[in-house]
Amino acid sequence: MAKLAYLKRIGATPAIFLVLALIPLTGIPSYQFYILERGLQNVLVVLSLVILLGYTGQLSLGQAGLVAVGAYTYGILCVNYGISPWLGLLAAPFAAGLVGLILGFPSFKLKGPFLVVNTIAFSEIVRILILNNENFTGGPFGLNRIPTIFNGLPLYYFMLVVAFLAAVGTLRLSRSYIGLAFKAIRDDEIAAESMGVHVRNYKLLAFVISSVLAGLSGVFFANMAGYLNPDSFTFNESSTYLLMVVLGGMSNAAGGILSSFAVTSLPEALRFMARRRMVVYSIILLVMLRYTKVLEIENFKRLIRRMRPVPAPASAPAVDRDEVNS
Amino acid sequence: MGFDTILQILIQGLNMGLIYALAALGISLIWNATGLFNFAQGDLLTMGGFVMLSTFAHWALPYSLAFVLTFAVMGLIGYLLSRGYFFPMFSQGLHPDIIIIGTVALTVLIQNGILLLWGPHPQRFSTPLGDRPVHLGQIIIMPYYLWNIVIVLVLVAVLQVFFKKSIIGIAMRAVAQRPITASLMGVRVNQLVALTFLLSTGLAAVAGILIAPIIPLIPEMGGPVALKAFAAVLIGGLGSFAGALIGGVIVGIAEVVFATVVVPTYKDVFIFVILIAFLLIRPRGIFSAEISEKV
Amino acid sequence: MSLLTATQLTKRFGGVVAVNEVDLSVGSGQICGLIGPNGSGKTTLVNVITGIYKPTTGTVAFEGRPIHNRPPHEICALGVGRTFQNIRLLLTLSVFDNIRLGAHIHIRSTLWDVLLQTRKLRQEEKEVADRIDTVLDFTGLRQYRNELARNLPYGRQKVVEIARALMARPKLLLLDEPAAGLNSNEKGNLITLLRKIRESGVSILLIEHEMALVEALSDHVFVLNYGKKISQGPFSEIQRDSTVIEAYLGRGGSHA
Repeated sequence: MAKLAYLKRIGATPAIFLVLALIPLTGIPSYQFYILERGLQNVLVVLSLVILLGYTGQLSLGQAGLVAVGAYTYGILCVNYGISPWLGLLAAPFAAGLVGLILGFPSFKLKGPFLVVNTIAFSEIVRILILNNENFTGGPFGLNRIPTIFNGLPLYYFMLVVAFLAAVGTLRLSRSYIGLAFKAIRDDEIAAESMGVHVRNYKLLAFVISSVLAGLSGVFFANMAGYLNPDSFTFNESSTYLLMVVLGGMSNAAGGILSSFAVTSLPEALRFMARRRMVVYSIILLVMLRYTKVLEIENFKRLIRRMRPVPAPASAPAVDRDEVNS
Repeated sequence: MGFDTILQILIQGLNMGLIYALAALGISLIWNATGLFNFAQGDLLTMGGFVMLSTFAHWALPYSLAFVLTFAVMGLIGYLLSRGYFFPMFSQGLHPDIIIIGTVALTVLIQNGILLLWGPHPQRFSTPLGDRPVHLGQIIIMPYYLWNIVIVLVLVAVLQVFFKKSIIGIAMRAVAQRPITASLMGVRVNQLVALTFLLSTGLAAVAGILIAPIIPLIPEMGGPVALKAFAAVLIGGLGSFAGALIGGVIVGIAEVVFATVVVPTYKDVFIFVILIAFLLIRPRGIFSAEISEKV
Repeated sequence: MSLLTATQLTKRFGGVVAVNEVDLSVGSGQICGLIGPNGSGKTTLVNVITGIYKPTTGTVAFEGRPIHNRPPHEICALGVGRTFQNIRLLLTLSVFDNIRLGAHIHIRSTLWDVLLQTRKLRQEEKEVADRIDTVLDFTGLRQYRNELARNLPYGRQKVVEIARALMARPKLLLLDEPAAGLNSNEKGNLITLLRKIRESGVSILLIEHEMALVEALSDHVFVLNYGKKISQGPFSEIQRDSTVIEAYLGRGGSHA
């Protein structure tokens, strides 16, 4: 009986990783292997959004910028300064976390579309800075011949282990008092703060943790591709990450991992199929959102306090006045 | 800096600025009517440009016919989207973030749809005034400067008259300000909100049509252009008609000023920094619109 | 010795004065009632005390220390707990988790403890879980422990809010209409519960419309009308106070 409870607690995640560990051993063709690799790399970003959006309710469309910070920090340190890839692996998420903290400071005060626009703007600023500093980043010509930690199969298993640890960490976070504080902020900031949660600091924490994961994902990206180009870190990528996490159930780590593999695009050569896929996935998501209540998708159903049609004023007051005055 | 340069900057800035203003206006309209911030506006703009490409450049219809047809098609898409998708979403009482995510999913859908239908290569068509620049002293005037400015100003004038004088326009404003009262007065609120969507996507389409001569049409252009439109609407004041216009012009002129006077490569960075500053200090924008503000 | 003291507390929203120079104090071991017609500013007053709003003028002191400039989470940590008029539970979570939130301020573990699942964390989690069970028994919610908060009847949800507030080990509890929507059975239970809470050493400031409750529980009552304190004293006195009667009846009486 306790065994069952334990299994229920750890969920599907270990099983998924077990499968992921076994698949390459069956000898799959290289482009399918590439998809697995890319999927793994995306898992980290999706987990970052599970924490930031799913748990804490901060809708960010700026993850691509943070992935870029991680990727380019790694790339620049290794290529320009000859630093060991292992040190790059440590430094990059740290740099991303720092940028995430900077992003968090204006963000924690913002909600809804204002927050989203802020994150998009940040991400674009990062991309433009990368694009225009050719000496450091190679600019539009990209950063080439990036040393890797591993290659091929060893790289895959290394990423698998890291992703697994990240997933475990995410789940531990979710069950802990920190995860509870995050969810309280997501569902009712006023209640959270009144119960002693330092909302600003916890929001910043969520931004930093998610940025570290995104930065780590960037390191993997650099390792897989061997070169970097600012075109890989645009608003489109951020939207795709968002798609993945929402399709997976938003605060569902296992779901996010699965959808990360499902949605991962194919390499350049098969662009057409990638686009058709994206059309299909976006339609699936639109349908899911439309039928939230019918499908009983828990995480989408956070009931709002007021029914429409009153549009929200540009600077919403801290508390609903009508509720709070008596 | 000579007077000529200033004038050149102003005209160029006004040119792009008014295009941003159109997109921004579309965002404000829907925001006023429904509290929804349409993140798909940039891609609707792109789509408008591509539809015009088909009607004008590919099927060789006369410009004005193609223009009207594009507006109608895009407007219809907006109308159908609102009735068929967004209204059911609104009535479920979902968290506003969910609906925002819906518009983001929409951008992915539209962008990939455009890629599938029209391919990835940059496209372009020009205005009826052609492409030969006119030289007024030191100032270079591209024909589309004139074209855009005139079209947008005419459009704005028409809209002002529409909102102030026509029954539908007044009803739309009523719906934006006091939906419940409007409904009690017999106004069919849903229909008018759907019309607001129609107008919004129509305006995005016009922006797309006007942008095509200036910037080559590529399917991915939705994002960067959208962000400028967002900057325009937020700086000018979300929900305000004047705000959308002024915000658009500010962004348009700032772009050119930063490119000319400071460093061209970072022109966008300056604009986005200003945007972030506004978000932090004055999220209401310049013309902060309360609900009672005129659209 | 007064536990909570509000001095000339005023809160303005633009042109509206929601709370108007209110003086109020709650002593140790007391249950004080806060009554007044709808719109008289009771909830706003509580929101100012708990730090959700900053006062326009005036001060609030808790255990002698000023709290009117402090943010809500600090005020909670000092020992002021509250419930809300419209229930603010995390409806997608279980009763257990909702109550667990109340323990937040006393947690000593860090992020590293969480990620590494150290003994310190597991020990602390066990202690919290035990305390939650204690509070569940204290408030009579044992049977709902693992139930989704959303599935509970309205009256029970209100008690969950009280349980959550108790987890923070408050010295003072501000309750905003805990009896609203309860049937007479539940109201009786509530009276018993609030008395138990007072016996355990927690003072209470009780906003209520249910006069029976206020009468049964309060040592002292404050009456607000249009944001101003119009009367105070034991229930038996203010019950007969003509200004109080007029405040309640005058609202609807003038149309008669």
